[in-house]
Amino acid sequence: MKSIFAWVLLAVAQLGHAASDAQLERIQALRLAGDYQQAIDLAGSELAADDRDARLLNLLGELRADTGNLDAAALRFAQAGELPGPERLVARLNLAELHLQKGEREAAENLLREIRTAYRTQSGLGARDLYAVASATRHLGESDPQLFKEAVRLFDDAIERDPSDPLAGIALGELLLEKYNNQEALQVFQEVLMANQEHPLALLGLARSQHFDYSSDAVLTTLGALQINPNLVPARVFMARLFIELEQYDDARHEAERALEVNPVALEALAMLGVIAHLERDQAEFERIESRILELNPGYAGFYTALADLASQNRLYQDAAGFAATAIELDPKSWRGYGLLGMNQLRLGLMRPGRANLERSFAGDPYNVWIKNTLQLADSFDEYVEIEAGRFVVVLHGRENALLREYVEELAQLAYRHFEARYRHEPQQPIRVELYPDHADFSVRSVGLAGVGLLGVCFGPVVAMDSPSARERGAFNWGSTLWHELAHVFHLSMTDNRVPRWFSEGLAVYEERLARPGWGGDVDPGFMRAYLDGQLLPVSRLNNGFVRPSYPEQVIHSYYQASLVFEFIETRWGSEVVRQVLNAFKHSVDPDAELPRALQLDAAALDAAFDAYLREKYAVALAALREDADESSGGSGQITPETALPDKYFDQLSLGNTLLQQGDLELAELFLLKAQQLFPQYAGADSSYWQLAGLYLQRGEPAQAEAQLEKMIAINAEHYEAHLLLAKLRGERGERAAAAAALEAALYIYPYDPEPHRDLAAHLESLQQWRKVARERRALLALDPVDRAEAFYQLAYAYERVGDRSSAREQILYALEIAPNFRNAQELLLSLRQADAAATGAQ
Amino acid sequence: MGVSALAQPRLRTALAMSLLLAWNAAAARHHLLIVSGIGGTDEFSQQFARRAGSLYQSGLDADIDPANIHLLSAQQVPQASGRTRAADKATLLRTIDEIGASAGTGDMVFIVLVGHGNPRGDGAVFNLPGPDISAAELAAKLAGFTGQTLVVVNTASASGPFVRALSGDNRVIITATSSGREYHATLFGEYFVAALADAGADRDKDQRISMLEAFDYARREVRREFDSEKRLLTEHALLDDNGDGVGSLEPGEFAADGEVANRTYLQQPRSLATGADAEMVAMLERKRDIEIAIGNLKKRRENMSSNVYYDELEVLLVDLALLSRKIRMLQ
Repeated sequence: MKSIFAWVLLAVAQLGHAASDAQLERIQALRLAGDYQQAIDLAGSELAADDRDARLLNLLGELRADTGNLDAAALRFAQAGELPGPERLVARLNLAELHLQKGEREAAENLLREIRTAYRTQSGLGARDLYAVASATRHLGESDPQLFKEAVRLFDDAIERDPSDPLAGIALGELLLEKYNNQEALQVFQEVLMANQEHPLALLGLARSQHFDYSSDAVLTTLGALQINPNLVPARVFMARLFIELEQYDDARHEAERALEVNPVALEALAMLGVIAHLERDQAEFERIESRILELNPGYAGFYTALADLASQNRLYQDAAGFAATAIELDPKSWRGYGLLGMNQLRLGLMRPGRANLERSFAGDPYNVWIKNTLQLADSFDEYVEIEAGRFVVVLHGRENALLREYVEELAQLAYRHFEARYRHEPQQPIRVELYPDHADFSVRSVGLAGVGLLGVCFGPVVAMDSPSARERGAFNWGSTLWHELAHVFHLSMTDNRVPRWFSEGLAVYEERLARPGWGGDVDPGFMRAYLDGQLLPVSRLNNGFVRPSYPEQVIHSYYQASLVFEFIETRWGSEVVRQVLNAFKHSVDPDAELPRALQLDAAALDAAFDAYLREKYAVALAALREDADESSGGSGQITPETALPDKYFDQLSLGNTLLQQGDLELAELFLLKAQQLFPQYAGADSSYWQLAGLYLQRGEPAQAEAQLEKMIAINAEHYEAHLLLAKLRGERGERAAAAAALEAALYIYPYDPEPHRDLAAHLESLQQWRKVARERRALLALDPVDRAEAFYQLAYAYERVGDRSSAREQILYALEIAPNFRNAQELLLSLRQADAAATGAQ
Repeated sequence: MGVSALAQPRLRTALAMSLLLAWNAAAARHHLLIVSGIGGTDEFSQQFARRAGSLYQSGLDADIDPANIHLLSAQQVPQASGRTRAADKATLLRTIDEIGASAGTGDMVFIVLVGHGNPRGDGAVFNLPGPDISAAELAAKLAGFTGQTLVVVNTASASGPFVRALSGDNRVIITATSSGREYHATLFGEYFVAALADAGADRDKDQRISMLEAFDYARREVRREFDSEKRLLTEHALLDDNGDGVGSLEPGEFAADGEVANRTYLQQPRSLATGADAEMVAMLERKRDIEIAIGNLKKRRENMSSNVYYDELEVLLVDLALLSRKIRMLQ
């Protein structure tokens, strides 16, 4: 009887346990789907049957936390934590995290240390326990960064113990991402998703990883997570952030408010609202939100680091530095705060305090790749020379200073005078201009990580860019890049850094084009194709092209397209309206409305008018590049004179090139000229201009070749060989001034070849422009020529011609030191001494 | 009775001439052996032929007796049409024997290898049609050149081991690479050959290109080309002239390697203008003294302040300039 009774009791108990498992799964499923209330109700009714189920207690506590009922959550966690079994440590962890959320750090740390003690003293810990220990270790890493490594290992152990539980993997991915180790983070999230394709938190982790790599997929992935769980607060917060980056503040606000509907005390959601209020300059709203946040958690430095981070992304570096400083005041262990403060100080040109704060950040969190890279860069600053040049501080690497200094200073001063007159504005000085011979260093200076695809950045009073030696010969035009970035200095200064990104970039590219023909980007077949395929964005959404490109070339296309907007505006309304709009941005609460208001056109009308302008400007080219379905140029793909379509650019160009290669110059010329007529605005290396120049040279028609090259570089100022060839042809005709102009333009592309400097010096000599001759001779010396004696002599000669006998004498001694029997140098030395003697005698 | 007034100028001239003859007797004969090895492709074959032709012309321009210029080539060399022999190993060894037989004590023998090389064992070889020639084999063949200044320039890939093999007294050994592991086709040869024809390589403006100047020119231009293409340098040329078997990457006039190379020229020394009299000889000797003083001053530079150094240098340079001007006026 007793055994039967025991069996019945056991059966009943097991029956009860089995029902609870299924219900547990159902509650978890409801939670994952965001049906929090239903999950809470179900959990509540299950608890009524068995209030000692630790798993249920924890889950209910987590649901309460999800919906912002922190006291109720704490109660359940406390209850679960008192019960023996595998949920105890998780319950302690949950309680600790609640304490952290309320700013009760000491209470949190006590619990976290308890969890670690349990790890050290207990055996047979399961996956959930290991997850709890790993999470606790991660939190304690804020005080002891060595613990982060252990946290990674513990998460790995938890995953190994139970690969089916996604939580450890998600937490590991988040930790790696937090330490800027995106490659591994991405791998971890993908592994979790392989086993749990629709886990919303894993999808969110993936979205964050994609965002780190500037991928536009981040939005879609987040939307995917929200489709599964529309009430997932972290996903709503992340969407809010993405919208803020797109400067779509209404949409961002909507997302944050949706998050708060689910959890009214979600600090991160409140933080997003605070960021929006700041960016929209709604001080009253900002203060209201700030008070609410500090009421919930008086030590919540995360609000200020979020403000600092997003402010700096919106180029409000001064504000960012201020917010970061507040974060540190609230929480002296806010290593992120120190990092953000340091980075923004460097961007503002405050090099010493910036570096000091970065070092503090790194000491507290040595796994931050972003900070580590920047500190390594800062270590190399000793190799750079800082030159005070009036309004500028020019920072050049020691090995490039002698060569580049004069060119950079000259162009910078010219740009300043131009922009000062054009905008009637003087920005804060000095303006710091830094050129990096190593692109990886420039990349780190810009964003903290290597590999960014930019040529230059402007932080306001600081410009950083690739030196011409950072890339291959002919890869870019450093002169136009410097001009572009200096335009930004003015735009940012005039607007207190509140100019929309598309506006500033488009205007800066347009400024390049105004400065020199050929500067400022070119239209190319890819751009035309993008227009024909409907990929180009309307003006009203052009910002997206910069921040979240939807195809690889969209950023480059957006730069050029935006510059055309300003070409359109100035053609129709003049330049003054642009200056007025810039001034209006400074105090505007609705920047998107400023341009339509100034033009007296609403956004849709502006979009339509600009589109009409583009279509008219490129009418011929668009027709010549359009691929119509019913047309073909020969089924085999082989284009012949018979099959080439007369109004199709690629047919004409391709055939022209083929004929040129075959040596049929007469026929090639016809087709290449036709291609040029069809798309005259395109002057890339593969365009008709370059091919025709070569053709005419083959035919012994240098004048025709010259004409092609002139047209080419008037559009494309990046083709180094075209500039040199044009200079050569002009020189052969005796057009010294024009030849010199072509060579000077070439130096803005690549100044490291001695020959152009030598040729330029010769032309300038014939034009008696001795100061410039001296500049070129100095450049030649800086290039460390083999024949240094000759280089010193030539420089001495130029100095002598300028009337600087003292410098001439110095250089001539250097020449003769190397080559004592150098006849010309000997004669110059004697001549200088004679002149000095005569001058002394005259005195 | 004294020497007649008419006889006196003759006596001065005779004295000067005897001094000149002594000078000329010291002027060595130069021998140039150019070996253009197997190209492998049309592109390389044309390249090597072009370099060999340029070297041949440089030899002629350096006033080397054409009979003392030997060109062995695996390709046609237009500049030396009719004077080119096969570049196989047997011919090479035989030619070296011929040079050895005709070279006198104090002569200079230049051997320039243009082509490909590759490592072999712990050494390297230079590629010829048929069997290649190793560094060790070449060293053995050149062992008998003890009375001459020997200059061997190997512009091939993987040529570095030739330094250790050929190093010795009174020898300048130049290789395009520092080791046998640098096996890519080199740029060094192109620029070394160009240096011999480019006045721009004449750093000290003495109207001659020394082996040091040619080496330095080539080394710098190779680096410039790699830098402009943002490529890592894959060849590091060496020069050894102190016989220690270790080449220098940056030899110099006052460095461990470079002193001998600095005074070794392809240019066949010429005799001085005839008719030079004692005054001219004295001026030339004075010129030589000033040049030596300048050299000595440069050696002491490290221990002097910059101002003092350049003040003293200027004094010497002015003297030299005035004297040179006078010499030119009298010539």
